[in-house]
Parts: sequence; C-alpha cells; structure tokens
Amino acid sequence: MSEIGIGSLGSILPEIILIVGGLLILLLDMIQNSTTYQRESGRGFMAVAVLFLVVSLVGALLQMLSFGSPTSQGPHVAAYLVDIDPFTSFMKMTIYIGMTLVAIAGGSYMNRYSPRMGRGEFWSLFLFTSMAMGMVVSANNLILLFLSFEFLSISSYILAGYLRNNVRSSEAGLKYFLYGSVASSVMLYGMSLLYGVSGSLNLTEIAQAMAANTDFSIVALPAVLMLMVGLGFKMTLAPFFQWAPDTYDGAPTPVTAYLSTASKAAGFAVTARLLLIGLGAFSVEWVPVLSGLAILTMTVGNLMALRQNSVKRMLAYSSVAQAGYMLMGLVSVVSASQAELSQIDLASLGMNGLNGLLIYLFAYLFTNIGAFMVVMAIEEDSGSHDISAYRGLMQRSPGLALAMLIFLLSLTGIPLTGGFMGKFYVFGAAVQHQYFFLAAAGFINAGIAAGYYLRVVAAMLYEPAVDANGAEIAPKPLNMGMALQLTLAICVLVTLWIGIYPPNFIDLANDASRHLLALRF
Amino acid sequence: MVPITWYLILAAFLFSCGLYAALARRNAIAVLIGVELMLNAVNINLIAFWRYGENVENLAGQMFSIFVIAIAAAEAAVGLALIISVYRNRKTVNLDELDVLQG
Repeated sequence: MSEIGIGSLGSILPEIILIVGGLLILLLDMIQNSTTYQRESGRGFMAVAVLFLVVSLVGALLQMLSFGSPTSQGPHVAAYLVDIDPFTSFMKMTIYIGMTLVAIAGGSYMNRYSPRMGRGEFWSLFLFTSMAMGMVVSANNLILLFLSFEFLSISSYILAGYLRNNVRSSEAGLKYFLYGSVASSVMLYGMSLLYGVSGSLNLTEIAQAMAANTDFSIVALPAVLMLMVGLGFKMTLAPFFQWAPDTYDGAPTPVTAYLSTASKAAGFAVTARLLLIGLGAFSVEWVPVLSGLAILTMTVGNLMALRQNSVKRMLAYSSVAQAGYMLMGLVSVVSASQAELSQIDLASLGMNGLNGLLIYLFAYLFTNIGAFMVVMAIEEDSGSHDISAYRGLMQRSPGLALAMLIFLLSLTGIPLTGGFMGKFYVFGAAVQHQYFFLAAAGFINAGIAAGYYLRVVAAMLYEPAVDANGAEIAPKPLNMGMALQLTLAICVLVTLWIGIYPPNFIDLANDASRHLLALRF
Repeated sequence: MVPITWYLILAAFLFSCGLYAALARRNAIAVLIGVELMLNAVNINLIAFWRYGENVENLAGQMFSIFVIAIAAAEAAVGLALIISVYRNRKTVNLDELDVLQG
C-alpha cells in the first residue's frame, strides 16, 4: 500500500482531466444560458468534450507507456483504492477511444434531436460517464468499485432518457433505470456478504482472507450469484438482458453505441478483476455459473435477433449474443481439469482466455460503434431503423454500404476482420482448456448469427430501394457529415488492421492479460 | 449484546421485501421504494458486519454504508426525474402500459 499524496494523483490523471472537462462544460452552459442560447448549435460543447476526451486518452497512453516494453512485467502503481496496471491501461484506452469516436460521430445527431435547453448537459454527462468507466476498470476496492459502477449507471440512465419529449427515449431511460437499480442493489448485497466474511473491502485482502479460511466457501457461491446479477446486467448476460433491446432501441443512437460497447467493456473488466483477483480461489464455484450464463446468453441473443425487422433492434440482440462469446473467454481462463491447473503456468499460454476477451472487446468496440454509426446515418436520412430502409444502399452510397458490409462480416467472424481474431482466440482458449461443450455451443451460435447478419447484407447489396409503401424508387444519394465519414473510416481501418496484421496488438493484449493472471491461484 | 444473526436476519428480511416489491409491483414508484428498501437492508448488513467484525477501529463498513446512502439519494433523484418525464409523455407510470418498445 503506498502513501496517499499529491504524487499518486498522477495515477488517476485521465479521470481528473475528464472531470475538469465536464465541469467546464457545465460552467460554459450556465454562462450561455442567459445570452445567445437560441443560436447555439451545441457544436462548441461537443468540441470541448472531444478535446478533453483526446487529452485524457493521451494521458492513458502515457500511463501505458510508463510500464515499459511489452512482454516485461513493468512496475505498477497499487494505491489503496485504484490499481494502475497494464490491464487497467488497456481497458482505459479501449474505453476512451470508443467514447471519443462516439462523441465525434454522434455530435450532430445529438445536437439536432436534443431539447433546446441543456445541450451542454449532455456533453458534461458524457464526459462524466467516460470518467466513471475509467474509474471502474481501475478500482480494486469495493467502495470505489460500487461508487464508480453506480456513477456509470446513473449517468447512463440520464443519457438513455435524454430526449425527454420523445416517448421512446424516455421509456428507454426508465426501463434501463428500473432494471439497473434492482440489479445493482442485489450486487451490493453480495458485496456486503464478501465484506462480512473477509472483514475487508480491498480485493487483494479479500482474496487473502478467503484463501486463509476454507469455511468461507459457503458464502462464495451466493456472493458470486448476487454479484453476477449486477455485473450481468451491465454485460447484458441472458437472464438480465431484457432491458438491453428496449433501451438500445429507444435511446439516442450515439448513446446506444457506447452502451453496447464501452459500457459493456467496463462491465467485463470489472467482472474479470473481481473474479480473478477477489474470488480466484473459488473458481470451482463461479466457472459453472459463468459457462451456463455464456451458453444461455449467446443462444437467447441469437434466437431473438433472428426475428427482428428493425436493424437497430437486431444489433441490440446481436450485442447480447456477442456478450456470450466474450464470457466464454473469461470462463476459459480457468482450466477444466484440476490436475492440469496446478502444473501449467497460465500466464505463459498463448491463448489464456483473458487475452481472447481483451482482443474480442477491442475489435468488437470498433465494429459495433461503426455499425451503430451506419444505423445513425440511415436514421438521419430516412427516420427509420427498418431493414427496408437499407435496401439499395449500395447504389445510394457505396462507401456506407461497404463499411456496413465489413462491420457485419466482422460481427459474423469472417477471417481478415477483427471479429474473427477475437472469436479465434476465445474459441481457441475454450478448446485448449477442454471446454468442448462451450466451444461447440459457440460454433453453432456463430452459424445462426450469420443468418441475420447476412440478411442485412443481402438487402443492402442486391435489393432495389423502395419507398414507404413498398414501391420501387430510383436510388437517391445519401449525404453524410464529414465527422461521420472520418469515424467510419477509423472503424473500418481498425477492424481490418486487427484482422489482417494483428501481432503488435496481440502482444499488447497478452501483456495486459498476464498481469491479472500472474496474481492469482 | 444482541447476537449478529438477528441483524443479518432483519437485513435479509428487508432485502426480500424490497426485492418482492421491485419485481412484483407494477407501479414505477413502488419499484423505486423497493429498491430503497434493498439498499437500506445492505446498510444494516454492512454496519452489523463492521460492529461485530474483528477490527472495529477500521471504519470500512461504516464508510461504505454512508456512500450507499448518498448513492441511494442520487438514484432516487434520477429515477423520479425519469418517471416524471415518462408521465408527461404518457400520463401513466404503470409499467405494463409502457409498451412502445417491445419485440
């Protein structure tokens, strides 16, 4: 435990920058209110928000570089409340990049649809949400973990219901709130049980107390189940996913884009840290729970996605299914056979499950943000999410159609895209650790998923454009803003980069995963 | 001194009541009340574990429960705001009637 002082503030520098940015925007909003508000387009706030996001991204990058070269176990800061290690830095980078992309592309959408008053609020809440995600992935103390988890949830409730005059958005916000508050209360009860048996709120100390006394294993299962309710809600796992399609459908599309990627990534990071560091000794208890949830999640998500006609809703269910594949990576960290567990050094494995999860999260972030940005472009053009609005997109805007094609192929898991690398590492880890039933369920589900992804591809490429009544019309070109084009280009490039030339990136993910794995068992 | 199990049973009972209210009631306000009950049950748990724990001078449990109270207030504020925005649009807060988004 290091001394708490001014020097240790450097470890949360990116978060401090975001807080300052958020407060600054609130202040600017207040000054503007009285004078020239009617003419304000919201662009200024957006520019400030993007600026602060980029600066904190640079801060996170510097933090990452300070750990030294990849593959080395560099020094890391373990303060009392936060743990700044390669894993944290990797997740922070992923999340901040995602939030920056959403801010750049989603700005015009939010400024157009949001109520006339309070445009600044959206951007300051957006920065606070990013801050909460950065905090939650680095927290190693239950108080900070719960606080930043709730901070993330509460500001997300507001953002989901942000268009308060819109029936769909307000309903989405309320549903998100009701599910979320119940789930996090249950999680909190699980945390209080952990505190009760271990007498500490620090994850490492909890792990030591739990390892010292095997009687505590009675509490481990109920505590894990209760924690998984709250965490499963954030990761949209199967029994707790009902809010996801409704909220993703009704919330403003930029908010949907980050809820389904960055917020979910934060959920996975917290789960990995809690289970591997805090409850690593009780993997026998949580592995069956998690593998059951993984299979249930991917199956339910895929089956529900098959019967959707709205592309936004289809992507919402697909993001539930993708959470199932990611969870497979977390299960595969622990070997199925106990004998093998004691013999091998997990950190030295090429596919240790956790690096699969990280690669998957990173690739999925770009792919899914890209896909939702395409949905947003179509929505701004035609006002509809229905699959018929996508017909003839190839003639209307070849660039947009090709970008969507790459995103959908990546979500399906076709080679040469980022999604394939993620699936390859996650499935590989499952096979290596002898979870054959998990891998089999994953493969079958990936097959089902291809069905609904390719339906959109078929509509885009081969079917002629139609109007609202179903009559064929001449394709009219679709206009996109500069910011949206830039974001889509970045998403496409990164998706292809991870798929075609991944070695550097995989080193980074390996390095990040090794740190968590070296600590436990 | 009253044994710790009494507190734990009280907390579990309160928590179950809250969970029942949150899952079974169809009125958004009633669900919110259920959530508050659950959070307060956790507070009782935390304080009891702290008071009967090995190191009472470490105030971790008490600190946690104070933060939980603050979170509960924030959650209630945001929740009521969302309920009001839905009520203005729909003139109802019955959860069964919120069915614009489904499928």
